[in-house]
Amino acid sequence: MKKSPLRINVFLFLCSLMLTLMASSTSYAEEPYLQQNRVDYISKVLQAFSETPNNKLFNTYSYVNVIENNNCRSSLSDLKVECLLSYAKNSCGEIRNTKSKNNCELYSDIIVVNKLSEKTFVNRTERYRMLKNTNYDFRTAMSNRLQQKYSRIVTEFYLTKKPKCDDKDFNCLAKGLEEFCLDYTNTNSLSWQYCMSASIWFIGISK
Amino acid sequence: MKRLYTRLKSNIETSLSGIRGADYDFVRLHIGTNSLSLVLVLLICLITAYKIDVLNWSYLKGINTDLAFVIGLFSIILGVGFYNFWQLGKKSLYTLHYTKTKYIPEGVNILFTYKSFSFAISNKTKVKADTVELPSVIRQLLSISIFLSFAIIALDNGEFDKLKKFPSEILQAEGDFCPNNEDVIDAPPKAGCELIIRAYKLGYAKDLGICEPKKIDPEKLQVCQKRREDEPYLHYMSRLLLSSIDKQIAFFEDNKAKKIEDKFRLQVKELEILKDYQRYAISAAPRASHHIWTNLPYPENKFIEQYRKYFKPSYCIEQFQNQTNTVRLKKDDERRDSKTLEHVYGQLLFNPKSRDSVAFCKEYKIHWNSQPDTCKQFAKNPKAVLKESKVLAEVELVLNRHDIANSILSLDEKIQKIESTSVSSVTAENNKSNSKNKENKSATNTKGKIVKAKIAKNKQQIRKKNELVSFQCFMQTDEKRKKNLTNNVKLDNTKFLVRTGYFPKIDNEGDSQISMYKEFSKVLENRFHYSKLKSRSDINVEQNLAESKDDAELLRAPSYLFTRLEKLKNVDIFLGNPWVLERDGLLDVYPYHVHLQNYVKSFRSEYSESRGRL
Repeated sequence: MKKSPLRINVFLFLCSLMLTLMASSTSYAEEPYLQQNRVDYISKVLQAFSETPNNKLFNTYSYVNVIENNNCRSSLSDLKVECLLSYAKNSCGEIRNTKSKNNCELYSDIIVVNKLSEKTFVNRTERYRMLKNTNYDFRTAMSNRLQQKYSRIVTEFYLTKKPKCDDKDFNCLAKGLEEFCLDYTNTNSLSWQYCMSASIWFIGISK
Repeated sequence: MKRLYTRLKSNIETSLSGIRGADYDFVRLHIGTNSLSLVLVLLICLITAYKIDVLNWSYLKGINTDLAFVIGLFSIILGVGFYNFWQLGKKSLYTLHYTKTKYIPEGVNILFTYKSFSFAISNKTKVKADTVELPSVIRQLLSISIFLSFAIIALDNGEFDKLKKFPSEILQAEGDFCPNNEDVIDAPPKAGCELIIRAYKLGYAKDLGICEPKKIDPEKLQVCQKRREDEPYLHYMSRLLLSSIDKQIAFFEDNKAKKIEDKFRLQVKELEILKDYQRYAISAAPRASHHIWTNLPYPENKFIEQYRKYFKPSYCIEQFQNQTNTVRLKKDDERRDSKTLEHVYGQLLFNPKSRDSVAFCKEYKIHWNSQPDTCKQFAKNPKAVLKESKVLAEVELVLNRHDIANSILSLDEKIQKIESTSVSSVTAENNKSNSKNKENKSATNTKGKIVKAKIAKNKQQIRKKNELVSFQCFMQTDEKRKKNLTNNVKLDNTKFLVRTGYFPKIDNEGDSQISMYKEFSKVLENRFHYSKLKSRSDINVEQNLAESKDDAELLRAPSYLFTRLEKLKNVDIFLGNPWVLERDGLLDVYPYHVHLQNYVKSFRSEYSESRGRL
């Protein structure tokens, strides 16, 4: 049986379309840290923060705190990371709504990284001083101090030369933040993800 | 003024006619004492100032602004006050005459006559003479100038500082009393010991441990020489005076003058060395000299190179002070390798973020655009290569400075010997060993021991010549795996190991930086080897291939991108892990600072053992 040329052309077109789609999805799946993929991810995280009420964010923050202090207490950073990751995944996995579940995964990522970066932002000496001088709850004092440190990074970001973005243009903001953190962490001794998470958290909860 | 001018003119005319006549008739001086004394006092002040060398420009430039203001104010106020008080603005009451006796007016007191000339004085009320007076403005200026030069002679920056501190010192001395007995006994407990002391008192602790107050040896207690709270000023003053006299007597009894003379003679013998030592210290001459030749071009264009060379000679200090962790370069940049080398060089040796820098960047030099066989030429004729690179003088200076440092130490040793021998001879002579002598002897002995130990330590600390000066070559080559070379070179009777390192051209940016670190650190310090034991990764046990594959896979997952990056903190790219370098974008977010700082720290700890400064 002879196939008509039109059918062959349609078949070929569909095949090429499929291949293109597959290729684009593999590039994201295989290389999530390419610059464009990073910007897309940050944009999604910012979107998730804008869509989630603050009390939910603070609840997750408290949950991660508890987990880190109890179930995931370890001196080996790899173990701690994997433990926090699995608890965060499980916690978000319980949500039925797909959109809320995806958002949960995105903001949990930021909260876990912020938890891991606490020791970098507030070193041992500073924590000891806070413990000694704080009259009220240490945890509150700690989060206040962290907010101060995050605000410093965000202020520096807004003071640097960058394209002006609308409040709702998350893609533009994500691009600016990504570039800023690359430069900031290259000059200062800080991990890129710490700078990103600190800035996103500060911007995200100040809505 | 006009009158003075016409009088001077007529005087000059008569003088000139007198010269022609040559019988010195023209000498007819009738000067007012006010003007004359002002001129004379100023002259004396100026001569004194000149003699004590305070009139030279560099000294006057060094006077600080506060002192300059005080000097100006002091001279104006006192100068004007003095001028008005002595009524120097009016005509002088007395006139001095110096002329031939026949020209001296009647009624003048002649003081003496020599040949046909007389020196006389007259009162203006009794004798009318044609007296010459300086204009009042000039006299006022002279009066101010006298006090100005007087202030310049009397005050310098140091004295002025002392004067400024004097009131506060007096106030301090007023409150500087010997402590009361109660103050000594009730010394506060050590910081953080309150709880332990309380527990000890309650019986919960058996001993105080480090919190136990130090027991004071009563023999070591010294009598407080300060003023007692109830001691009258006069008594305190007399005590100070007597102790000062005691010290002077002890100075001459101990034969210290002889010791000082001997030491002085010794120092005079080595005057040239001492002078050079001071000269090098003051002129901030280099304390080390390290040279690296490379065939790579200068990282910037020629204009910037020349600008930095002539207008920013200390540019390297600020450049390496604020270095970034990695250097981001354009792919088409022709000077990529040079920029990478400069970055690596700064990170390894000077960047203060990682650890205290082990070198001073102005004592290091990269000779860009050198010939690939420079080190071979250097091995054949080191001086010629150094001369061509315009660094021979600097290298010789450092080598000379090393010799001087050694000579200074042996001079210190000799001086110490003089001190100790004279102490022993004096103590042998004076066998009247009262308690005070014993105390003095033990104090001098301990001081002598400390000085000896210090000299010995300084001798140990002086680096060898080949640690202060070094030569390396770092050449890019197209040949893969070209072996590094080492040459032995002799310069000024010192052997130097000259290493030539070869490195290939690498296109991948991340790879080129890492390999540059590895290659360049080997050229600078051959013994340096970075291993898993030195790495800051959490797990130091051998990581197998499967595990690193796991890490790589984990970093491909599309969710929790930021948290997963934490994994990279245990992936040290200085130890291999090529998958990080190969993956696009991963190197941008790699926590470079963690492993870079660790790499630099380990390098510097080894490098500082074999290289250093004077």
